[in-house]
Amino acid sequence: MSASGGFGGFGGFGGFGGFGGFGGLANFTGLGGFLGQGDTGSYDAATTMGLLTTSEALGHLAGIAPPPASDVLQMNDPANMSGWAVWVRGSLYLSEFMRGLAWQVPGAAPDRVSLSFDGAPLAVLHRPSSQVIEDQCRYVRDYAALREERGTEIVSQLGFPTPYFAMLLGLHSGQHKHTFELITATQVVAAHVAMVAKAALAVRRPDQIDARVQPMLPTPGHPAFPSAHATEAYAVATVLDHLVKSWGSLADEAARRALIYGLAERVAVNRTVAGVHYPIDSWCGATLGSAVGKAVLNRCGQQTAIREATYIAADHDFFHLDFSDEARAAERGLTYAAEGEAADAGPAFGWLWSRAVAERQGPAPQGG
Amino acid sequence: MAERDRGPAARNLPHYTGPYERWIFSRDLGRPFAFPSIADGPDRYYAALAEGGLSPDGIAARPPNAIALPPLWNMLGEDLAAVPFVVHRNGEEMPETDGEGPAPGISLTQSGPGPARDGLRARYRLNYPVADRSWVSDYDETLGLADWAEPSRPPKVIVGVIDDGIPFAHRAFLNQHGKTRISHCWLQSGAAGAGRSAVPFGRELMNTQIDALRADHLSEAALYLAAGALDSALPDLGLHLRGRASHGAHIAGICSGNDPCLPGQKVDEDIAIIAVQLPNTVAWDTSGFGKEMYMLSALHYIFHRARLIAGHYAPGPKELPLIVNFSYGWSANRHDGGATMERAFDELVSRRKAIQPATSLNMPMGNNFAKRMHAQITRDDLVDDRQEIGWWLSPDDMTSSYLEIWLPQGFNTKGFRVTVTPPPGFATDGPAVIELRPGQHEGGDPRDFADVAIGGDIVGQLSVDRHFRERWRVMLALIPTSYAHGARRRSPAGEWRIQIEAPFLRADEAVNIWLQRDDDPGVLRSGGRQSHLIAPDRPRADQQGQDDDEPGMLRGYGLFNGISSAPSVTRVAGFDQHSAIPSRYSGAGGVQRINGKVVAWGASPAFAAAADQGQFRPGLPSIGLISGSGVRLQGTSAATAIATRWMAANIAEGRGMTDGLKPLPPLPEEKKDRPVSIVLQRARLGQGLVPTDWG
Repeated sequence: MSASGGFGGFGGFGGFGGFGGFGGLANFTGLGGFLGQGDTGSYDAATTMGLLTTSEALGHLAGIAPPPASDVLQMNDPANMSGWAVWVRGSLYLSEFMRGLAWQVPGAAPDRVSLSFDGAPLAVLHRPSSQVIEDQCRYVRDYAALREERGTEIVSQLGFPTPYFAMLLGLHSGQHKHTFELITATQVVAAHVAMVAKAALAVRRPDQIDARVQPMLPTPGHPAFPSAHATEAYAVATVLDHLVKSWGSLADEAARRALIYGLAERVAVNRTVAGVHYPIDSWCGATLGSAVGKAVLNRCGQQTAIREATYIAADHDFFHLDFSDEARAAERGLTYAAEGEAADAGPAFGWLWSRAVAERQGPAPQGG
Repeated sequence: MAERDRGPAARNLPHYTGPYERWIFSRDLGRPFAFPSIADGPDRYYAALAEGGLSPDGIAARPPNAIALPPLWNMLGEDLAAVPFVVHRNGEEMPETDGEGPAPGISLTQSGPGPARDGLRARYRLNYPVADRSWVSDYDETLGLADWAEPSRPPKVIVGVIDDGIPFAHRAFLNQHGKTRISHCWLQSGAAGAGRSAVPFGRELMNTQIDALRADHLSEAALYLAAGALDSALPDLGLHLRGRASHGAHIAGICSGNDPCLPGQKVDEDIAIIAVQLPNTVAWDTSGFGKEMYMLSALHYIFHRARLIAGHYAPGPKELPLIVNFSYGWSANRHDGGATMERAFDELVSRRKAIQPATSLNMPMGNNFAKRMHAQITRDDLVDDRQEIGWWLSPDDMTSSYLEIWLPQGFNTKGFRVTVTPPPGFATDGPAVIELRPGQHEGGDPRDFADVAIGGDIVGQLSVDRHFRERWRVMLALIPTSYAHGARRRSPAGEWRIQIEAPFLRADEAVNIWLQRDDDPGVLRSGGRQSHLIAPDRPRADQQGQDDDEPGMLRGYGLFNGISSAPSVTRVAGFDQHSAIPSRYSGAGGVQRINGKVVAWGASPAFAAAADQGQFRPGLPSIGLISGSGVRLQGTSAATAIATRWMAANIAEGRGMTDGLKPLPPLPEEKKDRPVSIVLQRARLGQGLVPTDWG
């Protein structure tokens, strides 16, 4: 039995296949299938029988005395992390993150979802009006003109677009396996948060509103607003932006950071080109993803204030320039609280961050 | 070239800031999105074009400015409709002023008879700068045959090729002795060589130099590097010749190459070639701005060098037969022969034809027939004196977009007005309206401007100008729909509405609208995206109808190369060799319904040549850049090259230039007695089909 057969042991994640950003295991590029990786599964029947007969034949050589006293592993020690299968670490990252997430939908006439992390307010996302949704279909139709050019790129981004981030930073599996793991962990938690918000806000997809949209991808089995791709891309961009700064090893750091956000914008817009998202989904996803990215950084032990974002969608196209400039964003419905709060560090993410930071090229900072 | 003296009768030669110049040179308008060499600021050598009819020898510059004239075919020192030149300050940077570029610091004069002809007033416009390293410090125009050797047989005809990416060392251009048939080649944006040069900028290679390069280098890439034809530090030249294919290679191969990749009849030894490689970035800008000096000086150069070759064989004919292939153009413009390039081309070709009738300038009809880039509004289309048309801009367009509305000569301007409305969800800061009232007259055509702003950001320019005081044009320029090149403003993508109010449009007149080409020529990475028009009179899914339907407001008829309308230019359309029907994209002459009858207007193709081998073999095969490589490209450029090859062969074999033109194919039974079908067929295919067997 192959290792992927052991995916069953990760039963709680079986539902991932249906997620927008998850797209199926085959697209877990860059990390070779994070969620099943390292799972031992079982052997094929012949090997299993061979092991049994061998064990019976050789067993007497080990004697019959009780086992001697061994060293014990330190309990709850991050140092053990490198010994666990990757999928186990994936489970730990997810659990460590999600324990901080809470959300609330007002009772009588629900119009928004409020998310918090470790009790600190994260985002308030208002459900867009029907009028805005109808108006936004115009953009979706206009962006369809780009399908011919971006079709291949869009289809290859059905899963996590890790190779695209890798291209910008020169990442390779020999040197950057923990950086890849950090990217995947961030994407996974961002996808979960996005699903929470999507399910609460329940906004129909563009092709369910306007017959002319006719997307080039299957209509995803979850609501439109916010875009999970935008949430994941902006979460990863936020984390990688901080990682590149922490590395301090790229002379053209400013250009790399601009590219990271340029990619996040493009991944988000590609979903509008495909016909499955409104530009406001990207606005909302980028808002949520940036907050998730900061929450991940806090879990990584990188204290980062998260200012509560409030997004009230109006009929605007999505551009990173408008999103990243707070004055321009405010004109388009996205505002932030003046002050923010940090969240708790976590041992799993802390361990992962220390490994990813050490993957800089050149001497590790402080001999690490 | 030495600075020219100012004669005592010298008058000021004014600078003209037309609508494109104002847009391109203004920081708050289109400058951030212009071709990088303009957007990046001050330069030392600016290409320029004087227009309106003046003597090249009468143009001079007041110090510290100086000018240089490229080789001009003007032996009699006649006035020219347009004079290409370069203005500079002997190597110093030329200070710039926002809105006008370096013009305020330049003072030019003109001397000689008359202020103008045709009622025009001479002025000059600035074009793209020449790179510092392309500037020739020791220009000597008398060197024209210095490195030229007599070919094995005197040329019977010369083929001129003006294009990008010319693989001048390609084996396809060798004669049977292994010597190149390329007599002269001017790389306009090449690095200047050491020592004297017979061109004022770029690099000229004559046949002995090309042969020596071929002898010295086995590798063509190394050859091009040694020849200064590959240079990553010169953006207008770049590394294009290191690629696999270029437009210029494809076209030059069809025009006059012999190669296993070229299925046509062999080109004879006695057909010589003169080639000009335009700046490879000539296709970058999506306006008509900045290229004209390079284009016109290329034609003069070919004429000039052809004359030198003829002179070498004195007392033979003064001028040898010459077919120039210029597979280039842009889509908006007057389309009546009155554009500066058209006047200049017509003048040169007509004057040469008077000396040597076997002279032709071949240009393609263009490839935009089906691209929804042209509309015509007549009296019948107006409702309450108004009509509205949509202009759709693509998301993620990184270059400016341009729409031109041309009004007929003698048009009654009273009450005429154009109102622009942005896509739903956006509103302009105040009405975006313009009328045909000149606010400015000095230094050029009567003109007026109204900037279009949204939320405090200028996103567009509405302008009116009366071109050469003959025809009114309304232009709308819009900035990119993406935040391009670091700008913090953009135009909304989607459907803009253009309302035209024309209470005095007569029944026999028409308002014509054209869009400029705005695609991305691959290697240049301009990020341009083609906009299109949306007409209210047909369903969205079928805006242009069938090709042979009588056209609606939006039509491919009248959508053809905007610099090809000169009467003496040979316009070539494209057809499918297998079926003899017009290629779907091939530009077509205009048609108009007047008093219930559909008639042709303006220029139409002279004839059509094969552009596609068949429905399942689109385009034509030709050579790639490196000897041995082949490539297939599609378009009326290739058809034009087929025509060039055919005409040159006709002359070389002692026939008339267009002998053997085949008649148009018969119309289907149900259409053969329908007058409109005959008009439409002529508009698409001209007078006949070039006989071709391109495999």
